[in-house]
Amino acid sequence: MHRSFQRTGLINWIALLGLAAGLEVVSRLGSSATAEVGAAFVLIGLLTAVISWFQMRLESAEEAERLEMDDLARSRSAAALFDTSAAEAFPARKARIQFEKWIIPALTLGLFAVEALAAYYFYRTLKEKDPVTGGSSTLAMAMFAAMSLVAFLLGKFSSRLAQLEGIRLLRPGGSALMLGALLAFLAATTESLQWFGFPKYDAQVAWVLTGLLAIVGLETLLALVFEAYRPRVQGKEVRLIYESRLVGLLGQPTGLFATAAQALDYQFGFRVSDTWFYHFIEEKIGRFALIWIAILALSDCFVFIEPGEQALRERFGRPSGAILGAGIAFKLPRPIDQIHRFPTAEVQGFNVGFVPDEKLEGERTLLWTKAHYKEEFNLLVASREQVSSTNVTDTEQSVPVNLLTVSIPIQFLIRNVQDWAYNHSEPKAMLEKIANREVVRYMASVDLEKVMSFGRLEASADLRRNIQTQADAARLGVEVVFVGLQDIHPPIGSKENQVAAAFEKVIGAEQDKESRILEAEGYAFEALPTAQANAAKTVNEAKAVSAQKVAEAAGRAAQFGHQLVAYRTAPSLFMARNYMDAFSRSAAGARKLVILPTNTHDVIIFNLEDKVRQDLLDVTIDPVKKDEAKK
Amino acid sequence: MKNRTPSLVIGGLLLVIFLFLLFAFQVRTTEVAVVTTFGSLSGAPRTEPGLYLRLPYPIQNVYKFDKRLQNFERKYEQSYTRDKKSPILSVFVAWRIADAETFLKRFNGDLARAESSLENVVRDAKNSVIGRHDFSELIAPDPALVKFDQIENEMKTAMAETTLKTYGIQIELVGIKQLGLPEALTAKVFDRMKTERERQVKKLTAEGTAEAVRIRSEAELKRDTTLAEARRQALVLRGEAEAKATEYYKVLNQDESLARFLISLNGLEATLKDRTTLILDEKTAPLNLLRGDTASPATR
Repeated sequence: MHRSFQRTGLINWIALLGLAAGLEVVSRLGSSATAEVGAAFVLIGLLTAVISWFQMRLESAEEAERLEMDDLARSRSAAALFDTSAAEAFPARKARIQFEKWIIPALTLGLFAVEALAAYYFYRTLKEKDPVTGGSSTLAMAMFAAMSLVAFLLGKFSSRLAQLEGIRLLRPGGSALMLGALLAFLAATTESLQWFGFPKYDAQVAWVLTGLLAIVGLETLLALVFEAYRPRVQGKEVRLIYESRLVGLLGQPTGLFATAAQALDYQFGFRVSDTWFYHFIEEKIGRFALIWIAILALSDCFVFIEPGEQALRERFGRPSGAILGAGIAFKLPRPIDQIHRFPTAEVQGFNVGFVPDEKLEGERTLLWTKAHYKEEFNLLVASREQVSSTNVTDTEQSVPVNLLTVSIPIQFLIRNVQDWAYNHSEPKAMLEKIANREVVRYMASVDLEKVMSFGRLEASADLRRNIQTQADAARLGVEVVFVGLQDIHPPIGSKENQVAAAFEKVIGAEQDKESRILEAEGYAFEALPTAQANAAKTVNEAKAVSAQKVAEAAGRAAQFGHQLVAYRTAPSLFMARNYMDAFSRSAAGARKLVILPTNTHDVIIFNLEDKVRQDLLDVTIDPVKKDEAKK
Repeated sequence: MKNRTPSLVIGGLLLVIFLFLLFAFQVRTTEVAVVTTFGSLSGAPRTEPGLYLRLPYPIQNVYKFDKRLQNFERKYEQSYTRDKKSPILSVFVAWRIADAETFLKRFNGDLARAESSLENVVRDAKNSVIGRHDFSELIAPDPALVKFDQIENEMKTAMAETTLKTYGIQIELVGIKQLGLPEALTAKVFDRMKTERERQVKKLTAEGTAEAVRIRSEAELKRDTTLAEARRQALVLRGEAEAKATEYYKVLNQDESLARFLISLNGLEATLKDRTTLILDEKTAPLNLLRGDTASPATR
């Protein structure tokens, strides 16, 4: 092999080394993730270029050895005298075979490991990286572009040389340089996009390249496996297993065209690549690209402002024209004109005093004693109660304050888009801080009981007014449309001191108090009417007795008059009759013992005890049988 | 020969963009730019928005800064008041770059470094100002006693001179964003709040009991008064009835012996009404008939 090819191979891997280092260094200058992944690609290309360069040197040595042996064989008269084994006669050939048999697979395995580790590393790095951080640098852009140009020229030369001269070992280095040129160009493009205000594309391109890195690693592994099972045919050129075809295709788009054309030829059964259409496309591709660029530039001249949005147009950074409303707006392509859009009709918001928890969003019941946000901040409220807690031993540290859990969602609209855009770097964060300040300040002197109950509406209105005043003073260009005191309650407290539960006990005690009073009122409601009824009864009874007594007296007086007449008419008869009537009537129910006189002087003893009931005395008891008595 | 016009046009466009990037820069309304030539400041800062020319790097370098108000807040820090209380405060600061050249010199254009230096100034001002005030000037039941504005203004004044002269930073607004207590004190406040509530519970319970007793006793008073009045009325009525009855009984005086006889008969009837045992002999009328005596019983 010609020495100049070896020199080209040497230049290739030195250029790749420079390119990898350049991409890595400049990527830090311009915060370019694309360039970082690109540097890894170029580093892998460098490894393949070095391997191929060594292989090239071995093949060159083998060829030199073969020519030398041919010259020697022609000058030899008696070959038998110098007949030696093939291995002894061709050490360079043996070295090349051993290199291809053992070293190349081992190096390819190492290459696979590097590719896999690099893919994993970038996967982890990009996952943690904020896609929109990092600034742009015009210097980085220029350096990426310069690197791309140099790599392209060198790569094109090597690839063309490899193609024309059939030097396959120049191909890996050439492809790697071409790919390096493409990656440097991509890095310059993403850097430009960052400069134009589209920082996210850098991360997206880096993600795509990381995926490609993983695919290239897989390809290397498969090539290694397939190489182990490949049938060995004497004299057939051995494929370079460390050379990635994917890298070759990516690095040389024309190769991609040729591959696609070959695929079409094979699929349709005739040479599609010979048709006029294929040639037309191939010839006019440059013009198509130009038209595409023109269309892109033209599309950048019109902006559709969505309903509910307002936009500011800047020409070379200077505000240009009036505020743009919804509809189509004209602008010159970037970087001359830039449009900044703002959702002025959209209600925006933030929270003061809490951090929402998605897991607890579904809770249908919110209790004071149970946390209902991811984080709840306790605000200090002045205490109007002058109670000395027995547990507070350090009097100097006993602070007459209460703590209150407050969650306040605040909503606002952008009213003056110029103030919003031009006065503050982070207007929403500023508004949030102002709102926090106003809430802290308001709570510092509020009456806890009042703000928790009937004073809520007033507090909400006060807070809204205060925040609006401060936002106007800071020229934020917003209108505060809603300040909601959705939660104001005592904090849950600690395990030992459950404050919210203590508040609930107060409510329970209030109910208990009401219950006791109601019970007493119930007693009163019952006692008074009952007493009134009993009083009426007593009076009425007295009235009845009185009436009865008077009536009886009247009756008896009237009766006496008549009886007197009867008595005077026949006094003894009247008396005898009345006596007998009264005696017989009254003695009818009495027990009567009549004693008649006898001739003897008897002593009569009467038993005047009440007679016991006959039936109880008459009860007869059966005599106990003899057998039962024995038992 | 191939037509190379499109390639030339694309190449020309790329060249124009490349040259534009190298020889010009824009300053937005929101920005201020400082240009250095070989490291030395070159002209006044470009504060007006527009397009400016420059020499390419490394001859000239352009540093752009956001001239809008930045807001800054870092540590939620425990402080110490004049009356020996130790609240935790977080202060936010709204600041802007007032002198871009000084800002560039001090921090080499690094915003993070600027905020780091600013943090020291803010903490110093915050703690020294809080140390001059009582805790009751931060938290008090009477809004007139709360001196947030004064405290914030004092902090702003304490920071302003250093930041403007030394850093090129102007402080526009200082605000107390958070105010709290350390964990140990928070536990004590929880304890006190709980004690307050327990006191209220006891008070409410006692109030309930007292009110219930009052209502019951009032009801009992009314009941007893009503019943006593009723009894009084009953006695009066009975007395009046006695008096009226006596009037009627005056007629009995016409024949006292007959009246006595009739009263005795009524008494006899009442006496013999229940469970009476009479032991009678033959002298008692009408049993005198048993021995053939036919005399009238009234004559005996």
